[in-house]
Amino acid sequence: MTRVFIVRHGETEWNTLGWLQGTSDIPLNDNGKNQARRMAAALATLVAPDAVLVSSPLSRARDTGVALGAQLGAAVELDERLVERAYGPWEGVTPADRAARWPEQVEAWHSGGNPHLEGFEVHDLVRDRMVEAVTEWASRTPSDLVVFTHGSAARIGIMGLLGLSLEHRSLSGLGNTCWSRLRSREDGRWTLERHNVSVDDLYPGAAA
Amino acid sequence: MSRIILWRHAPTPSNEGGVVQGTVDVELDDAGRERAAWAAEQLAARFRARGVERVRVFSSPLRRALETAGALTALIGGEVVVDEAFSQRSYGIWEGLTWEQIERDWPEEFARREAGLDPRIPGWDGQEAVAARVLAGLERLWDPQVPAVVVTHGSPITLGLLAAIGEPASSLVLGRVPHAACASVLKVESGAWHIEAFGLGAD
Repeated sequence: MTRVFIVRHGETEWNTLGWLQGTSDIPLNDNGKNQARRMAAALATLVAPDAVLVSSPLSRARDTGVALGAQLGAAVELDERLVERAYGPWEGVTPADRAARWPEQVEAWHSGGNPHLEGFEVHDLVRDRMVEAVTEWASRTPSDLVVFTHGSAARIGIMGLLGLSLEHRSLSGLGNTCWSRLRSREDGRWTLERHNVSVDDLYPGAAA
Repeated sequence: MSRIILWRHAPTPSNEGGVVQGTVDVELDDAGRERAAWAAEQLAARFRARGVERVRVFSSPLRRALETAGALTALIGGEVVVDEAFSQRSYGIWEGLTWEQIERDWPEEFARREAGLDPRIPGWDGQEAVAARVLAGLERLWDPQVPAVVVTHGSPITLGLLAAIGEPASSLVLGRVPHAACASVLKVESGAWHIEAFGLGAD
């Protein structure tokens, strides 16, 4: 039975500013690097020693994954299908600018829908590539799979794996270096066992 | 931002021994009280860090839940309000038996439960009814200004959250929150429920 841990990258400067990053390759800031080290120390005790690690190629996700790879002595594989959703013209724009220039699209997006925006990757496409990538990696992994990805890609991917409708935000996005854990069932579908857990949420006696 | 924390009671000796409790009113032991105290400190620290001044605390009427809730009010003050909507379901004639005995003596009904269906045994509280009463409880307690902590049980958390996100009670998309651990849920502007976290305070 495979368990999949889906981990969001650590903090970046753009996260602190509230700017959408999407496919822009923004590196971890010092706090993000520290978050990655703390997450790695904790997850190294929770995942199988032969866990397989795979990441979005964007540096903020990859470097978060490398922190766990260093703990486990494991390589981090890269898969393009795990990148963040493309936000088109919203990447690198302040939330205030976004609201001022695209009020209707922002409202559609906040209520869970797709804004009509050139270059914005719609929910269904994000879901399809995330589900395909995670399912494929999980099928090749005899123990635990750890996936390093992004806020929107992780949320849509988890909802897709569970077969939840994307009409509502039934699940929140993950905080920086927070993770969710899913388990594959005998019928080939997935059960969400943890969602949006950080290193600070762990019971001290729980680690193996 | 307001939220409702669904906090599963700390483990009892029956939980540790794999005995089904349901409506049987078992108390915590010292180990369970320690888990409750640790989890209460975590919750209190989180509310402090968010600058939350007022938290309402509700509990299932069963003692294992009330004692767990008391660990939080001992830290943050206030009263524990008993709310029947969050009590444990009845496990009917399975109460007092171990899961091992149940699997051996009721293999078919045990398999139904594992598959997300109601076992056909006398006294069992059906999952649709449990899901509906917990969701009604969440709707009634929701306050966009003042968060709430609700101490309840494994089945009500899973079933109530499934109902909240519009999933059938037989769905297996959500697992079980471990003992003394929490889930967090909130209502967004559209009126839809949103699961913020699931299984905090465990592994």
